[in-house]
Parts: sequence; structure tokens; C-alpha cells
Amino acid sequence: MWMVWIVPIFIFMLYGQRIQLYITSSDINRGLEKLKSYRDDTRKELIDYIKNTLKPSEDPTLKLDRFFEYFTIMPSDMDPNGIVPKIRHIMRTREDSTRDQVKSLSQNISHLEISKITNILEAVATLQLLYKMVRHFFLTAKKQNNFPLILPLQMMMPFIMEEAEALKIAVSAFKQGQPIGDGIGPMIVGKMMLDTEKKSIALETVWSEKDFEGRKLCFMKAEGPAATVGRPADALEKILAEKKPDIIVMVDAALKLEGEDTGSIAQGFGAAIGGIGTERFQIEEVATKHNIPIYAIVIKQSIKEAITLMKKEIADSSDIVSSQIYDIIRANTSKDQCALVIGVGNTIGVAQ
Amino acid sequence: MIFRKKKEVLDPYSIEQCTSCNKTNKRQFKEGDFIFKTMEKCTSCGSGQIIISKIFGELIK
Repeated sequence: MWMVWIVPIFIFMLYGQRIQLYITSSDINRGLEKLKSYRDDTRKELIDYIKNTLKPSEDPTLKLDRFFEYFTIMPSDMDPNGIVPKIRHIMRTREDSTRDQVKSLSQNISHLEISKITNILEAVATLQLLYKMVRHFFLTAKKQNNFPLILPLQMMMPFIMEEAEALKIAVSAFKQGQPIGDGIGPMIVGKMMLDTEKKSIALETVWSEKDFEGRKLCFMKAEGPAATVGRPADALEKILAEKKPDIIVMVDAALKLEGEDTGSIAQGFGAAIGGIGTERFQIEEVATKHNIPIYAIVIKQSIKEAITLMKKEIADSSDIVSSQIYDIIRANTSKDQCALVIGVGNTIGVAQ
Repeated sequence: MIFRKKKEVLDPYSIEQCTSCNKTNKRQFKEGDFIFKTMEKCTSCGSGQIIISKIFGELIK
């Protein structure tokens, strides 16, 4: 009888990994179910939103289901020389095509509605991709009883779920046209642009000028209150040809590290702009060619805060950031010089 | 559970501000609101224009 204790040792020796696989699988399965419900809920929300606001003549469900499956093939990087223009070309083809497809849903669709629906569409497509990728790794690991394959998935699940939850909540903000955390850059620069003449400079991008303590200031942001980030790099090239700014100041939202406060502000150097990297590349290239220093101010927030309704802490940072921008301009330009201030981010719910 | 996260629900608000007397008014967000939207004339000073200066979400406690 006293030998009974040896039985569990043998069980765990022989079946330990399987037991662990069983426990981990049930955890991932729960996450997968949640991901599926997020995807289905957001898909339904988008279809209902289009049906209620645009009242299309035919059911858009089939067309939308096709959009959710769109994929992008990145250019070959065997020879990386000249890859950035290729990536830009492919991404812009995708953007333009999606915009045209959304436009075709209804004849009387406004620019604002197109931008909102395009953003929601991207959120649903991302959720669809996340769900399919997690399901693929999960089923492969289960099929092959492959415990090492399931471990990285288990480690990544909290990050995937955080992003998925953020995307699900973001849909509601986009539907109502509410500003999101990422819109803090356009909000700060938009305030500086009030009472100036706004001119279109690139696709969905506006700029304006004003005098400040003997200096010339140029402001640039995406054209709000539509849900767009504009084309800041193209706009910068055009402004540079016309105005020759002596410094560039970029204001953007940045991901905070755990423990940092939401809405905290940090200053630095370099092009503060996210995305796939093509805009940043173009801005850095132009600034380097003309030897123009780039100053950056970022407002810290989490991934969830960046794509959901702007929090009070983030909105309240705007006045401090504005005064810091003017301080940078005073310290780094002399009278008769010119500074360009760029508000980077999605300008949904933020005019100018 | 020790590590269970609290669900955060944000209530959206719009802040209206007069461009002349800086009087502010906080109200619930309404669909169609956007930052820097021009509203009616200020009833307090009579000369200023009211704009929506901020829109943000506050945690529901």
C-alpha cells in the first residue's frame, strides 16, 4: 500500500506533457471563442451600421464578407534596395481600392461616412486575421500533439486579446465619430490652426500658416473630422518646396511602457510617426536631404487607449504640449525663420 | 482572482467653451459633435462664439 505514491510519478513522467497540453489548450480555446465572438459582433455591427445609415439598395453582406478576406502580399525582400517605394505603392493601392469599394456601397455616401466605414472595415478584417491565425496554430498543435508549438501561442495570447478587445471597443468610437487617443496630435495642431486659412496640400491633408513672434509657422494635419491619417510625407515634400522650414516639430501619440502614466508627455528627436514605416522613411529622407532638424513630442498611452475614445488624461495634456511646442520653436529658431508643426494621427472627431 | 482585470467603461463628454470669455460647459457627448465644431453665440458675454474644445471619456465609477 505504501508504494501508492509512486503511481503519480509514473503518470506524470509518461503523461505530464499531455496533461499540460490539455490545460493550456482549454485556456487558448477560451481565448479563441472570445476572438470569434469579437469578430462576429463587430462584423454584425458594421453590417447593421451600413444598412441603417446608407440604406443601400442591395444587401451589402456578401460584398463586405469579401472585403474581410482581403490580403496584402509584401514585396520580395531578397534584395531590399528600393523596397520602401514598393511597399508604399502596395499599401496605397489597398487604401485606394478599399475607399473605392466603400464608396460603391451607396451613391449618396459622404466623405466622413466613407472614412468611418473604411476604419471599421480594417478593424473587422484585423480581428478576422487574428482569429484565423490563432485558430491555425491551436489546431496544428492539437493535431500533432505538439506541446512546444502551443507554448509561444500561450505566451502571446494576452497581447493578442488586449489588441482584439481594443479593436472591438474602437468600432463604437468610429461609428459615433468620437475622437480617439491617437487623435491627440491632430487635436493640438488643429487648435493652433483655428482662425487661419486652411488649404488642402495632399490627399486628406491640410495646412495653414501664421506669424508667431517674428517667425513664420506652418501647421499640417490630416483633414478632420473624418477618420483619416492623411498623407503627411507627401504634404511635407510640397511644403518644403514652397516654404523651406528651418525646423520640423512632430506631435504624436506613443505607446507607453507598463508603469508610465497615461497622458504623460516626452520630448525627443526624430520623426514621430507610426504605421508601416513608409511615411517615416519619406519624412526622414526629405529632412536629411535638406538638413532640417526634426523635434518630436509624444503623448503616452496604451494600445487600447490609442484606438478607443480619448481619455480625459490625454485630452488634458493638450495645453501643456502646445506650450512645449512654442518653447521648442523659440529655442531653435530665430526671428524671420520658419517652423513646421505636424500633428500626426487619426483625426476622427477632430476638425481644425 | 488576484489578477482579474476590472472592466473600464468610459462615459463620453463634450466641453463647450466660449472663444471670448472662456466660459466652459461640460455636457454629455451627442452624435454629430466633433472637436472645434462651432456652436451658437455665447449667452454669457454676448459677443463670443462657443466651440467644442474637448471631447473625452471619463471612467464610470
